Amino acid sequence: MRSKSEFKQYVFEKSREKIAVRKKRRNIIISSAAAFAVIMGAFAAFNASDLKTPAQSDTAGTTNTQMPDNAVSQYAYNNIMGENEDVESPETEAGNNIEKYKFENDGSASKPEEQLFSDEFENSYDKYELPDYITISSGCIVLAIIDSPEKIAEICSVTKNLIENNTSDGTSAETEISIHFQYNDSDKKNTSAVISGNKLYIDEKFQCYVTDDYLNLIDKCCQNTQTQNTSIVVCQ
Amino acid sequence: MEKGEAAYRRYISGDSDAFGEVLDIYRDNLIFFINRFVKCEDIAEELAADCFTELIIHPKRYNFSVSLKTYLFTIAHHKAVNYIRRSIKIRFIPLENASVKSTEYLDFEEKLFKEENKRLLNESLFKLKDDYRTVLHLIYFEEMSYKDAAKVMKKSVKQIDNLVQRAKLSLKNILQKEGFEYAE
Repeated sequence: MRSKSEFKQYVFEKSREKIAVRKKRRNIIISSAAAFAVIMGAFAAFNASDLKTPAQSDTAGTTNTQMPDNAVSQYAYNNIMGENEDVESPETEAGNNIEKYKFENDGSASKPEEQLFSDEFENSYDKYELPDYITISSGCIVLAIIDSPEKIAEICSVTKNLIENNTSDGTSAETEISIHFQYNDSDKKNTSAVISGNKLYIDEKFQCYVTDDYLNLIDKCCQNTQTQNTSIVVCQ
Repeated sequence: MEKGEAAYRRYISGDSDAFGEVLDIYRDNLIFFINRFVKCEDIAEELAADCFTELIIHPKRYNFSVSLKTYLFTIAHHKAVNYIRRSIKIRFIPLENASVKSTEYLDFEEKLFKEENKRLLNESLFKLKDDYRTVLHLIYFEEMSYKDAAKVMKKSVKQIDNLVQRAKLSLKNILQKEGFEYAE
């Protein structure tokens, strides 16, 4: 066991190391976010085109399209195929998973977070009323592609609710999640910007805590009605 | 304002030496508290260090609305519980006698267990359920209010009250089995 002076030195050294690791991780996250944004941009472009897949076809009752095998892919799948598609799941193991995580888009829908995280989270997400095009999972994933100012407003509203409901506690959180807004300005189609340094901390019960940077970012995004094709990437 | 809070405020304002005061005030109590869960002083010390690094890395997270002690113990509770969850998956085998307690910590324990009865009480606490042990420690060893203990354990004051009653009853049974003469 360390003496008090050694302990003090150790705490400072540990802090320095952690800060260095965080900086390094942040750089990796930004790179990953940029890569995801490019991929999801391609998905969005594909979606915007009139190209019909068998599942979107009016005559298609069933589909042979291979279904993705997790909820994140389900989101991407829905995004491409159209969220309200009544797609019959194939009788595969992957298809069964999709059924489990599938969420309806009728307003009263069961929320994907509850299914993803089971009872452990005590349905604590209910009160936030997340829009159903948002999915949350660990790892680096795209939460949502924002393709209209209305959706931006909705995201802003949701995150603001999270902030208002959860900043009073003042306690620390175990899981740290960075949210990066990446957007393509409609006037500058080939440019994008990652706004980093914004932090949303979510603990194991999904109580959320945010920093001032994040609040500022939300304000900035809310003001920017020109922002389109914004993707929100969550990295754990 | 507690001495610890005042010292931490000075540290945030730029007085780096003030953090040493924060460590002096809370270190031993925090290690002692975490050790209730992890039952290994080295790991408890490591987790306590993690709690203090939180104060350095994320100074904005603490908004002075609760006492620094409550805040630190909340983090400690969180980290200890997480550690136990993880260690269920990865079993650690403690190296017997690998660690030597620092003289300061020995002094702290010596001061705490001046009487044999208190030592027996401390040992019996380890036989209690986690929640019972935690609540009794916070209320009787750290002398926290029910309100602060409720914050640390993320429970309501009423739940803390109930827990204390049940924990005391459970402790009484254990002590009687150990041959402790219980004074009514």
